[in-house]
Amino acid sequence: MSTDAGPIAGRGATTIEPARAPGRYPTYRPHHSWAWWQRNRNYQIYMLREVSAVFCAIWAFTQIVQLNRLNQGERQYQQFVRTQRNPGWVFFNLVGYGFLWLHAFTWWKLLGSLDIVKLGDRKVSGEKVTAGAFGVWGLFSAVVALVLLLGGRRR
Amino acid sequence: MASYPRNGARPRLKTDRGLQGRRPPVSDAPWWGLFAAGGTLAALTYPAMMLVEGVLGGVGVPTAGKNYRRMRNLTANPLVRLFLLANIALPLFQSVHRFRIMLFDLGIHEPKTPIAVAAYGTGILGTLAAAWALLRLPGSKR
Repeated sequence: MSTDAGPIAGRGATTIEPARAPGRYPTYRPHHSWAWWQRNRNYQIYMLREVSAVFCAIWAFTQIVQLNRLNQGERQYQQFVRTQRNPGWVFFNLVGYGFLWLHAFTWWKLLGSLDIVKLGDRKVSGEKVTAGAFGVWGLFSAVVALVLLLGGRRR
Repeated sequence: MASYPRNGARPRLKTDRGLQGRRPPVSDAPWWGLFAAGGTLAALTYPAMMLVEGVLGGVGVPTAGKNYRRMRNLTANPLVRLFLLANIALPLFQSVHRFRIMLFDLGIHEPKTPIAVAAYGTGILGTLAAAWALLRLPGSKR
């Protein structure tokens, strides 16, 4: 800002100098409080869903550690299993399960509103897409659970 | 109160410039694609895995992941290894991308490039670590 205005603006007036060089523009950035999500329940659920990313990443890294222990031999693997059976870890995984369930539930619920399934000229309704998605989720969960509970045994 | 010179020049805000014939930025597109794939796979498998392995296996239920021999038998199959690689890498990219967006939601925009490098770099390093561990796995245990 310049207080030496020049002939057009008048004596003593404060003017904003027009920007002339590319890139040197003031940037307008609206200010929001960091706690905007506390305003209502929908925003709070949205933020909880975002936090689920932390638990998802931790579970992915747990699997990487598990595979590395598997490479190191039975003794190291058993040590990993003992750590995972620690009550603190079990509680953490229970909390993480809640967050991942929220991620999955909101993911499939959102699918119905995306308008993506078309049969020729007709569009499959959002409710049917959501119901189908939840059905596929149930099926996958059952398969994963069966593999983890019964898999890997040799007769 | 500020007055503008009458020649019409006024401070141009960054939002006024538009694209001016340039291509729109597409640098985020691959990460959104990985986010979509990873979010779908995580939604399909992670809740069941965490419940069975993380919680039930943790309290003593005999799951495959808590038994060395059974894990060796399961991971001997190359298709299982491929599935595990996708099941680790894609949800990891979903997580880091979502975490980056969460920082935006909390008002943390800067420094832009280091945040992006840290986030997606974590995804890339995690994928490489998973691939390396899976490639080195021995066969089944008799």
